[in-house]
Amino acid sequence: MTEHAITDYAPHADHRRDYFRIFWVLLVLTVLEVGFSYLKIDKRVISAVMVSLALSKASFVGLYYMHLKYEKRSLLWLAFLPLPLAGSYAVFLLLDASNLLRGVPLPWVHQ
Amino acid sequence: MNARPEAAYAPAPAPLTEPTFGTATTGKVGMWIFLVTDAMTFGGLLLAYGILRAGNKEWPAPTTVLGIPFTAFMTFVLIVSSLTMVLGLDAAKKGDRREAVKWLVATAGGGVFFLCGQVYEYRHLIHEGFTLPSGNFPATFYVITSFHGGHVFTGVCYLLITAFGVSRGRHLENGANFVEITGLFWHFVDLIWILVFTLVYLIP
Repeated sequence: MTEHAITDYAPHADHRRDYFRIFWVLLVLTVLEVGFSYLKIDKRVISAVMVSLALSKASFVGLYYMHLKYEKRSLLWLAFLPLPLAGSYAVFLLLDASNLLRGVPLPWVHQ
Repeated sequence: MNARPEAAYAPAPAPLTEPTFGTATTGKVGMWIFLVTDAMTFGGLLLAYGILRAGNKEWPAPTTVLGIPFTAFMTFVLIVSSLTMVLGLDAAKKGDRREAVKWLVATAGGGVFFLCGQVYEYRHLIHEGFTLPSGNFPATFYVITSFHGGHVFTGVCYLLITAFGVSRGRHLENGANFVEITGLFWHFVDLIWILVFTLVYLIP
């Protein structure tokens, strides 16, 4: 890998409109989330909706405010590649915890 | 009067870039690597929260214990501070020093407001008996939110140092790369709060 010094930059692109647009999107999604938390429906449905909304908001911040959308794809990979790995690790640990701690055998383990 | 050496006024050297990441400077790539590792730390804490909660049928609904409208307002403040941060970066990239300092200080102000809100929330909860050793929920709640609060405090210091540098005419060169790296840290703090707010405060 070689390093280069850069002396010239591309003219500054104006993203101000994007910034305000994303601000309103984040605001609306937050209001929706808070509203959902007071609904008396199936907790699993509420949880799934809320996690989806939170991940959408986090993605908007990462892509637009942290400029990942405007960076080279390799930097996007650097940021997002560990997430599915960590996410699958978390899912299996949570499955394990919720089953073992309640004394329920895992569905794929035959006794 | 001692004259300062000429080198002190020399323009800052252009930062290095790693071609693998396009025009991203090594400083920016370094910050991203740090943020990914920091995200893993938060992930570990949130996972511990999830595991403890999954194994406990008596876990109280957070909305019945925590003040959701107040925390929603603090979330709003952090989102606004992310907007002021990008406006500060935008001004810095255009070379508008005064405007950049104004937005950076406003962003730090949002962080200070958030921290004051967190102290107020803690005082209220402790008064209600929701103390660190009183159960798994309060223990994980305080560890996660105070760890995040530590990041907010760090971010406020980072922003003020950057704003001071910009006010002295520094950090505007090379596409305001330094200000952009500061912004990465601040947006990360906002991004993590978005997840903490949902997972710890809202999920029933």
